[in-house]
Amino acid sequence: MKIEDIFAPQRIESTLGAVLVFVYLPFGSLLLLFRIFLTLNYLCSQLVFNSICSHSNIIRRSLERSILAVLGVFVVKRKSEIQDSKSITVANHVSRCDHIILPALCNSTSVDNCSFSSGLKNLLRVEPLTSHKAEVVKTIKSIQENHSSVFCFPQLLPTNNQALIKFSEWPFAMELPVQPVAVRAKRFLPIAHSTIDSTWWQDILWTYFSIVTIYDVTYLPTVAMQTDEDTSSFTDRVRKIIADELDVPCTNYGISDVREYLKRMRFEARKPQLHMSDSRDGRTAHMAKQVKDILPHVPLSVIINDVEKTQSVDVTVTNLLEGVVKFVPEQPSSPSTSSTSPSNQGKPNVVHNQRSFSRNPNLRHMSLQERKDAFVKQARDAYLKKHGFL
Amino acid sequence: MVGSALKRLMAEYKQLSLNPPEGIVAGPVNEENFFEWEALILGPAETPFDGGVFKTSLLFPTDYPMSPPKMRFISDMFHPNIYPDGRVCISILHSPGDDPMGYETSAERWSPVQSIEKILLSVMSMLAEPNPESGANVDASKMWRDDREQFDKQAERLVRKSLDLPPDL
Repeated sequence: MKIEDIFAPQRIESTLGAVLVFVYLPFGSLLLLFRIFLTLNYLCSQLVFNSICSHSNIIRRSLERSILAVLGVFVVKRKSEIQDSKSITVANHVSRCDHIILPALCNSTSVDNCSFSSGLKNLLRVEPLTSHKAEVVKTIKSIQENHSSVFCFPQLLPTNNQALIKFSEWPFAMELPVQPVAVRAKRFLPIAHSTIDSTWWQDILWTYFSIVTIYDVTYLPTVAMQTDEDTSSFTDRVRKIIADELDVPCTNYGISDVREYLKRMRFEARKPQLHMSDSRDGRTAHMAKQVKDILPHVPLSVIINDVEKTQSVDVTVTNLLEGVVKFVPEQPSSPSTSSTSPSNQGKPNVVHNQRSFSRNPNLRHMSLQERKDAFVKQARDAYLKKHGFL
Repeated sequence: MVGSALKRLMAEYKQLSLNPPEGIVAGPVNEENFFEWEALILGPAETPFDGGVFKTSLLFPTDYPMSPPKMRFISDMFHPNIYPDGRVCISILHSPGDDPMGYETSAERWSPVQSIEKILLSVMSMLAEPNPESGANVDASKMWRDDREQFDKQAERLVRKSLDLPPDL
């Protein structure tokens, strides 16, 4: 099994699915809007409830359930809950909003190192997870003292339920019995619960958009770590139990493989943009060449720098000629234009250096005319002198 | 395109005015039209054209420096590489594409890295060392090859004429 088969690459994969979703779009959008407002109400109600009663209050639980039902989330629980309140519930991961949905429906608190703000976490009953075992144990204890069970998703990333990736070992290292839970989620529309690079709020919004999402939660018998087992084999055993229940294979991919794959995928997705910037470079290079053709003595690097700024051949030429952009002229590697300037040795100096180049065209022209006249006069005098007429 | 050509011509004019090469004065005929230049070229020393000041005109195309200017002598000339009507036959004035004589390597041809100054210096050295193989003026080529004395006399007359001196001084 390839790593890309474990995740949904896109929310809607088939053309048929896209058509169905398109037809459903007007209704779905209204539903989405309504549910977003209902969520705000729900969060407010949680605030109130938190101050008057505990999470396990029966009225509160039934109210929560009905709100979630209106939000389109139903849970079907199979087999009686095994009432070992000291166990850690371990479930496979189907969407990034599992932390929020499942604990609310199963009277438990999920622990996760996900990125909710702390206020939101309290409302949603998601406890933050740190890397210190002692603190984690403390967190779990405090949850259990509140008559709630600890719900965790050791896959860390939701898969498309075609296979299970390796579990994180931390829930199995707590020296507590483990309650495996197999979760299946169903939707009527062919919309994936999560995609490989979705975020938790995207997953929630798509859940709201869908008419209903049914979570089929199967509680399996509690297992405990055996004496001859180490943490990793215990982890694998639990994973196998869940995988068997779901009838999917266990893969050898771990979270790091998935992250690696994601990185690669994002890099490839960025490739077309790289090509685009290539063509931009090509355009710059083309313009730079045009400028270089006009002003061969200007170093190419200077031209490229300015062309990138101006994006115009004309403006760059002006900048360079008017000295807005400074540069050190380079000797153009000109093809053999005979600069074998004829020897003028022994000749009177007929060079008229103009000290300045006037900005006024008339003055400039006057000086050119003067120079011409002086040039001819000097040549004439030199000729007459040479031939002995003067 | 005209804008770039104008800017480049302006730049070359400035360069030629501030640092003129020996024996050359060049600039636009009038400042209204930068595409028409006049250049004075001094005949190189110890050559038949020694001391003459020859007037030439340069006509620049609007896509200069992509295409070379057209150059011709206004002063009367008698030279193997100058047509009787004054046009100059020199490789630097030919685009790499056209090769009327079929013997020029493209390295010697016009390209945007060339400049007015280089054209004028090339013409100057052409005056010093005619290339009898590209005979633009057959009579001049023949005379230069067969009767150098006569050629020198002819050139001397042209030098005087270019300096506004009477032929029989």
